[in-house]
Amino acid sequence: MISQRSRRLSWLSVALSVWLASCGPSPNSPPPASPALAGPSGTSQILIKDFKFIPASLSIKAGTQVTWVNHDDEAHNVIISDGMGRSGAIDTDEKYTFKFNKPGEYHIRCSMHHRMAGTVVVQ
Amino acid sequence: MSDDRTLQSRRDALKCMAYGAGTLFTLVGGVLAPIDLALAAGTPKERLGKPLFVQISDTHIGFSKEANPDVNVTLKQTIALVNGMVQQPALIIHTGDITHLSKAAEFDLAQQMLSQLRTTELHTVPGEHDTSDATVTEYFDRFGKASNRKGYYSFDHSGVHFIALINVLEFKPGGLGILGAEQLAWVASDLKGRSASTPIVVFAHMPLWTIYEPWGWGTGDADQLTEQLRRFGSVTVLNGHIHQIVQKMEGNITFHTARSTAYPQPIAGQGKGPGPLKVPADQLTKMLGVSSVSVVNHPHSLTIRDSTLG
Repeated sequence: MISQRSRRLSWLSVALSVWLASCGPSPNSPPPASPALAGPSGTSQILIKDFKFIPASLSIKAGTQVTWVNHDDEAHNVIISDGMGRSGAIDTDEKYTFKFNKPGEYHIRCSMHHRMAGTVVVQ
Repeated sequence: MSDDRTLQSRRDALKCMAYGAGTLFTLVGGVLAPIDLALAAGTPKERLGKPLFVQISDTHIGFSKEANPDVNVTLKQTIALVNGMVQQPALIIHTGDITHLSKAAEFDLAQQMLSQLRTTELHTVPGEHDTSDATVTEYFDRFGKASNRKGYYSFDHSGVHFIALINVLEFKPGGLGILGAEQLAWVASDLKGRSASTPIVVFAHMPLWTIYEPWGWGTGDADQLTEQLRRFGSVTVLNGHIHQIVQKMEGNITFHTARSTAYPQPIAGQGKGPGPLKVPADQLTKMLGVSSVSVVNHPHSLTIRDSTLG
């Protein structure tokens, strides 16, 4: 479980990322990789809300731990580039953390809801 | 109370139940005839057929959110409903999402509860909630024997050929789950040489026709399966996944999705996604239930009848 305060902070971070992204390329361009969300050094967070990964694209440095937090009433899971990593089912308010050590572009999806997709770019 | 009055009150009760319990579908010679259950209640027993199997779906053991805080209770009600049938079905089919989170304890509890059914022959296919564990082993460790852990298999019962399929492991990127080339080739070999007069029942978790693609309510390569089934005179395709009844006919093929025993879901496209739908407490059991399939005029026709828990 996470506190209401930290959830509000997370949402502020997401809103900021979305606002920053909206100032960029035209709507037809692929979404740019968002900077890592605020958090302790070497960590980053992706929210799962309304059957979406938020942000859908995240840019981080190698060695960063990324945590997915599920804010939906429905369970989800996280599959990283088909074999790199796989969570179990993540129920409401539960988390899954994975450390990205190698640079590259990683595709993220939920095996339970195939339209849920995202990218993590590791520099 | 006299026997006549008892009979009359039973008829009245059945008539009342009919409006909440749906419609009886009679499939004779490939033609589906919907009959209001109020009329079916007065139909002689021999014309309603022998119950062949009951389809239970989306039990989601482990779910405990607002939409249904105690799915164990509604599964127990389901089991009582099935055990209370005057003529017990020959077998039970579970069309997936046995558990909510693929946890070992959830599977253990589900198995323990399902063992309370008077009918002991149980056939299953997995839902995406049953294969969401990190190793994708919990379902197959318990229910994988019939398919040699592949998820698809076939069997025969009472002259009906049953085909169990899996459409929750492979998918089109960004799109729907699929059966895949290997499974489709297996279906072709399984049907090869089979008489067109053999009644066929196909069951899988996700709908085997596209109901609503944005929510994953379909199977990306199901058309290739449908083509293989067209030559048969009586085909019944059963699914779960969407927690509500949707049906259609295409030639001699009847497609039918079952209710959940755990919680309802929104109508396609209403809301942000296919999550649990909270309804007033007194409405919940009216939206949960099972489907039973009977053989009428064996072996030429099957009927589907939906029943709710409340």
